[in-house]
Amino acid sequence: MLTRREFIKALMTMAAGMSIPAFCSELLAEAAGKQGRKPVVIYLEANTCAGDIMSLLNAKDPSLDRFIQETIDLQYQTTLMAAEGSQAVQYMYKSAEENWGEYVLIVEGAVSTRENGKYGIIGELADGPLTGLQAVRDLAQGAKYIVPFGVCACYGGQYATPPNPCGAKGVSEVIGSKDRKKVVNVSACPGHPEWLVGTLTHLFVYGMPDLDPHRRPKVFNGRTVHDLCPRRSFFEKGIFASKPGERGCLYKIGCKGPVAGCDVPLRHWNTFYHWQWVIGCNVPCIGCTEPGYPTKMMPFYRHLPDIRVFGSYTASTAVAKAVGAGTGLAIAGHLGASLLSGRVRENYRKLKEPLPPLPPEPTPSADFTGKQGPLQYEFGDYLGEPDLPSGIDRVPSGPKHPKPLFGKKLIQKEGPDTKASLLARQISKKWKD
Amino acid sequence: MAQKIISPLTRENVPIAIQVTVDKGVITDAKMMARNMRGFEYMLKGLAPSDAPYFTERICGICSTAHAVASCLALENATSHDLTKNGVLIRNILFVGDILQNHLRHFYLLAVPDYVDLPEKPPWTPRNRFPNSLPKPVNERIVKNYFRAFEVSRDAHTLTAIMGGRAPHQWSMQPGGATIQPTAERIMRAKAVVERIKAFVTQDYREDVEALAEAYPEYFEYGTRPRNYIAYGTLPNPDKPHEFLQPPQVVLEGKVEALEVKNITEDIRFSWYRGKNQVSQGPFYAKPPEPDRSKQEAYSWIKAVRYKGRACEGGPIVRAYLAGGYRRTNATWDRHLARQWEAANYVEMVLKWISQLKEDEPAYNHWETPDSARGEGLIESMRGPLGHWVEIEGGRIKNYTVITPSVWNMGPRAGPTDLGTVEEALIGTPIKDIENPVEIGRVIRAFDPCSACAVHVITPTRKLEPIRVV
Repeated sequence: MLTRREFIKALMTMAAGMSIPAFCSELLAEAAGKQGRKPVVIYLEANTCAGDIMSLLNAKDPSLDRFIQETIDLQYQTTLMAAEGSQAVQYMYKSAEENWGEYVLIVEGAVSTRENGKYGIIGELADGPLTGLQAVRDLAQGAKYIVPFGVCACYGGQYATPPNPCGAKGVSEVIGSKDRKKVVNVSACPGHPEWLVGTLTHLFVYGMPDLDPHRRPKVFNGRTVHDLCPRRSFFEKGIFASKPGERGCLYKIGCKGPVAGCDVPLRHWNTFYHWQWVIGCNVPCIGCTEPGYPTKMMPFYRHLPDIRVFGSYTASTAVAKAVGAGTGLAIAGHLGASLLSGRVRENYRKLKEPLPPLPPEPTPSADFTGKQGPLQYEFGDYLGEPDLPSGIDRVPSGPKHPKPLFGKKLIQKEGPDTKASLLARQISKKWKD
Repeated sequence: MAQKIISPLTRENVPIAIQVTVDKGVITDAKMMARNMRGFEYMLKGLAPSDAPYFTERICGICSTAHAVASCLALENATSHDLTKNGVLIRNILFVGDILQNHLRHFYLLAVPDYVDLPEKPPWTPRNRFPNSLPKPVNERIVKNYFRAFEVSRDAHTLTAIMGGRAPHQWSMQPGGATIQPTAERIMRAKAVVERIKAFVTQDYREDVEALAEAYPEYFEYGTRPRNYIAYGTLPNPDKPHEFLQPPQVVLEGKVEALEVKNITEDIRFSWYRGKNQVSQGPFYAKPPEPDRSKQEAYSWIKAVRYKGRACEGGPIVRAYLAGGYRRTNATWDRHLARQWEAANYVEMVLKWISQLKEDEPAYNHWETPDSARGEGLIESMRGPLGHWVEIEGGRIKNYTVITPSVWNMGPRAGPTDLGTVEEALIGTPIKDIENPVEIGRVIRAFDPCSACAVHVITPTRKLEPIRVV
């Protein structure tokens, strides 16, 4: 078997034309053979557009059908599973009981927290609706690892755009502090299938990967789009596109590449043709891997003042916080060097021209709060922290005993039996009938 | 009399809930309940209009391209913007790639598990048990094709990615056209991909629908409803970008007439919005109503949309009917057969379009944000009519309204007897075994439901009451 170092090196250098899943599924099969069983995966869909599972279905060599047949043991996935209704939800809980402490929980979509999660109901139990929030909290406690897949599950993403009507939050923000240590974020919108497969392989075979401050695997998110961009030479020579659709560096029309930690310039999307990624389509990167996306990245076609290369670099705004000063300094340094060599003098002048003023900040909350004052949405409170977000205290830290009493909603009577065994009996009886 | 709620109704995009009342083995009442809320229309307020295509395509991951198309059309409509032929062709090709992907995934991945015996392991167990009347070799063939469909649908998405840079959530489609140039490499790759999936879409898909229809002939009866159809225009015509290949039309009680947006109304009587019988009328440039989660008798976040007071169905069956391709009734199998008919036709069309691409002609005509304007973008998406209405003021979005196909198909009732489309189709369906109600899923999944699209418009203003479900 490959050592961990060799594995990471292979992942990082693997570029167009090579397939991570093909490489990983062999490693996984080997590890599964040693452990005598396939890794158990529970894939929960919270408040989502289903884009991440669609993206995962685009995995190649092997495609997802072979992956779930041969390599992993996929217990719950609402887009693919045959069960429906309470049968499905009960099976999810039963499966979690049986594989307590062993399974990997993949969560897709943001968690709706408004009114205790009632804005995102994902199923029905005997005594009422099951919210996505409840399901994530329950299953997180028994998971060996938690893998939020897609930027919504990681940081709230699209659905957390102000005014954040459903109170969308990332998984890390709604689970207990103990469980947060098990989180590995696989960000982007939609999540990249190869990142997920690569991350799962690392988790199963080598354990926890090296994480960046936003708890993403460094192997995929440790370098920025700007670092890896094939149009970097345009940037250095000062050849900038003035509108979408032009060749040249898209930095001036709003490319967020300098702040997007993402190896997609090497990886590409959907079977590896070299233009199949954002810059390959001559449009600026929108930074969809980052916490704070999309709010901090909009307008997509505007060069954001906080990532301006020349002039002062202020760390006061949220973008700057999200980015970390390092990236900006690196860019500034690099450009400064280019400037000394005289390559960008002409274009530097153009870039120094003041950007058109930003329109006033939108105040969407005024529309539906009327005169009641601004709506309170807690967005971006995790930005700028070195580790995972704060503000978790209102979440109960979970039961004291090692296993929480799953399915307590399903069980009507108390007895000497454990609730888990009662639940299992009840479910198996129902299926026999 | 028994009442049953199925939640989540799996194998559709974003689980929805359905509550049925069964009396003497027949469904007498049905309620489609969309209970996940996001509120895209309020998020869009105040954004830069040019961000709308990327932003709205995140409404739905399976038909993301459709939202990008509708959004671009609305913005271009606002400024009467002209497109180049190359631009329309590229947009059509990448849209059709997504449509093919959707049709294949819908039938094989979502609908087929209702009819065949798949491998006895998770995620295909546990499942509803039903008598399988398929001959064994046919069952095996369809299961084989079920797994092949993973790859073929991925190839269809690759077509979108070749032209759009990524699927789902494409990059190159912008107001003003497409930001890529159709290079020889792109054209050849696109052609190769379509040729690769052509045989599967035109033959295997057809044979499998027909084999299943033969084995379960009762579904030529289940799921019928009055012939009230609605279709916006089907794909822009590359030669005349402001016209559609098939014009917007409605069918009311079997009679075809041209569509007028002012006849579209939205009713909130059974939706969680404040107000009793508040009806809004198209075109939709107004603010959405305020939500009210504690409203009595309301049961869904979706509003009841009507055309001249009738619940209308959208989707491939409507387009096939209007094009004269498939004109039987609208039972469960008719919906599947029309979808296959359409997919096979799109394969031919997209091959023609790829050959019309010109390498040396521009595909993009830059679109500038107007100071204030209004525009509507109506298009037939995979599941039916999709409409975007945008109002721009001061260079920012003032109002943005989206009415998706699933609002037409999955919406609630507008009055005690004025049922939603799926609700109409469900009533009268016999249920053999209330513990294994496969019939419900089979009828609903023929519509290709997607609640991700349908619920996009609400925002809370006050505390919610706990949800009560019968």
